[in-house]
Amino acid sequence: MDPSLFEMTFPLTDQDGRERHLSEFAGEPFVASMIYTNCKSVCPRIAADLKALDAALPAADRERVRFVLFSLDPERDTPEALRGFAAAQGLDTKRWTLLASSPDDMRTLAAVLDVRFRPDGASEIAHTAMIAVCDSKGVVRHRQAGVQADPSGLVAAVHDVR
Amino acid sequence: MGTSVGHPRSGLVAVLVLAGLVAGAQAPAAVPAPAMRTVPAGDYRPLYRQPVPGANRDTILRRVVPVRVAAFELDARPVTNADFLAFVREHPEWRRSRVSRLYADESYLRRWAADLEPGPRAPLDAPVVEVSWFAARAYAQAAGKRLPTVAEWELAAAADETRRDASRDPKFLDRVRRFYSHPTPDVQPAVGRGFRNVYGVEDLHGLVWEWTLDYGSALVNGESRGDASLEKGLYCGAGASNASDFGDYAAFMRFAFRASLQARWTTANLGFRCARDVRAPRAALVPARKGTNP
Repeated sequence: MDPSLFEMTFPLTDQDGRERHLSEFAGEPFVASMIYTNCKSVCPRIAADLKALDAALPAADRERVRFVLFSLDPERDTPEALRGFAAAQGLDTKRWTLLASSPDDMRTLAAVLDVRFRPDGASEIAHTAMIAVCDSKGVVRHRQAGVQADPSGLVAAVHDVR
Repeated sequence: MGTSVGHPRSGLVAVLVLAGLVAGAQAPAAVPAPAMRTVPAGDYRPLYRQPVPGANRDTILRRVVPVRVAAFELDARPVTNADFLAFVREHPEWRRSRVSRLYADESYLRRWAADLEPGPRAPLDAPVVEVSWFAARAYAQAAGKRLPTVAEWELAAAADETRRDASRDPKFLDRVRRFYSHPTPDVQPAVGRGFRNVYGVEDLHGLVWEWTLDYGSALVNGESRGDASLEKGLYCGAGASNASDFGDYAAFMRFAFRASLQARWTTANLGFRCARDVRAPRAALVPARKGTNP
């Protein structure tokens, strides 16, 4: 059986300050990535890729998929910072959830999702871009490494995922 | 321990081998939990260059920025099969037959004879291998420790028998390079019999590769403006002049090895040891009040 992200049972805090668990996302496919709100570089491009994907989805697919963004910088990504990022990026928080875990659990998330990162010692965190399409049981079914302009690979993956 | 068919001693040897296996399954850890050694604070010079502001506002230079490493404690030797056996006894979710595939691949503890039996291919005093980063981290947490960072590990690994920093001595670099040129043995030798550095830390070179907490930092190019991907500057044929030091080939190999890893992977020559923050000094003992017994 393919392993599910829901095996990670640690708590996370969402952009409204509520405690959440990954298993709450069972039942519908979701698209996941890792960002941090002080990122000046690749994170806005990840958000742009995800929004382009969302816009390109046929209505039937859009209705059944959600977006989950995990913070790479949980110490600074407070609920307020997450709300600010969502607002700045124009993300509909009924379908987009931004989550911050403990720093230790963030390492687990990054390791599971294969996001590589390196704090630069000042305020930035260099990191790889990764977008994962997960099925309704939390199993990663498609992974895009890096950012790209054309969402068609992700659109197809979302279409196929259950 | 080979036996020949039909030889009268073969039965005795078989019994002794079986007794050894049973003893291995039942015995407590044959090697005491590793002592730790203190590595004093120092600077680690990474291989990669970071963008730093130049003299003019618009200039970005790429420089090696030394990483200041605070003093820390490091296991004197790698974690052994005996250590790991004690761990999986207490933590059944990390036994081979039960581990989640999210956290370990199909080769996890493959050479062990059974869940609670390292067996002849995994001597109790040899370094445990075929463990994933997740498993190594779980072990460390259970021991009240953590994995060392790359900077910590490399700072400790720069030392030879007498110097803290031997990393610019071509003779030392040559020795380390030769360690890495030995093929991986099918059965690892015991820990503590090989290289021992000035800190009293053993086997950082010459035994197994070791997991680090932030192995994933090896893949990132440090340019936080770009899509951080392959550290192009460190691979041949792609602007290799971005690297800071061509002399330390072993450090390159370790960097490339870390860049190739995924957290759930296990391999026959990859083990780990633990680290710990330096403990706060104990409060000075308060003298007993006169006339009282302790």
